[in-house]
Amino acid sequence: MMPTCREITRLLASDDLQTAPLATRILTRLHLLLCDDCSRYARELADLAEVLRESLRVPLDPVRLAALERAILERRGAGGGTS
Amino acid sequence: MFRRQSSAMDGSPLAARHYTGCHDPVTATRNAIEDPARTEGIRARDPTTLEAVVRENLPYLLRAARGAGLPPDRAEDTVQDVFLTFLARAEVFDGRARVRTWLYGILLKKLSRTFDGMRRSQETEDIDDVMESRFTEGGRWARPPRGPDAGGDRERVRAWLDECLDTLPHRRRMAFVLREVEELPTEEVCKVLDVSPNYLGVLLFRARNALRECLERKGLGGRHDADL
Repeated sequence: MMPTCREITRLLASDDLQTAPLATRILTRLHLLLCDDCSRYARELADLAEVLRESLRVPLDPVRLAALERAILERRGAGGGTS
Repeated sequence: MFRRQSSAMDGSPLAARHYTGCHDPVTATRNAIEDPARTEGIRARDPTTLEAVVRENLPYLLRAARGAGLPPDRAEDTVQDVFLTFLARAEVFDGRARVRTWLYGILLKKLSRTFDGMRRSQETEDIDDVMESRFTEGGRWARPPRGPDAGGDRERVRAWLDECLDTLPHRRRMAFVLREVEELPTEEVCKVLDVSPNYLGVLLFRARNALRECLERKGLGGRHDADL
């Protein structure tokens, strides 16, 4: 049976679709082809992730990175941090 | 980005993730445990191995710390502390998870300490109820999503998303960041957060929908009062 819109949102937002039976995945695809609202919802989720990736995947300053790496390695024998 | 009409079926990795799932059991298994030789090197505190672990993982940990909401300076201090903890306890590393997963786990513990006590006002908002209210009894949309809108400029959307992320409880936020930015397989996110796959699904459902709702309230979507 075709999943309802409510079920589609659950399958997509919880990642449950990945482990769902093949029939569910096919019916979900079909639902998304037929339902503008759900396909809009799915695009919103994809865009959320895309914006987050864009804002976080910026190159780090190599000088600061090297300094931090040095600081960590220099302190490794000094008793370490707190667990 | 907001004009991906065909993204559902266009075969791009992003579309595949949301529509057909990206769970690949082979990759997941391969990634789930650490290489035995490296595990041995870590446990034996081999300097070259430890240096390589620090060098390879530092950028990922910094990004995750920033994704969790720490400002750059705090992120650096926290990540430094994560590695010092790791180095101090290297000999107990068991290799049952990748070393990066282990490091994310240490980071999460440190973040929990930072964020506990910073109760967020929106934490009490029940996103499950909000979502439920958007559907009819039969499960169809009663209030459909407005949909992404190219009208909002990218910088503004990013700023909104930052604000919205700050309203998430930190475990939900971390689940979302590890899944979407670090693209960790489900089972590794479960190890980091120490939750079952089912509960991870709940965390992700709540995180994604809370962010969607928050962005929609801020005006992402074509028909919003703020734009009138």
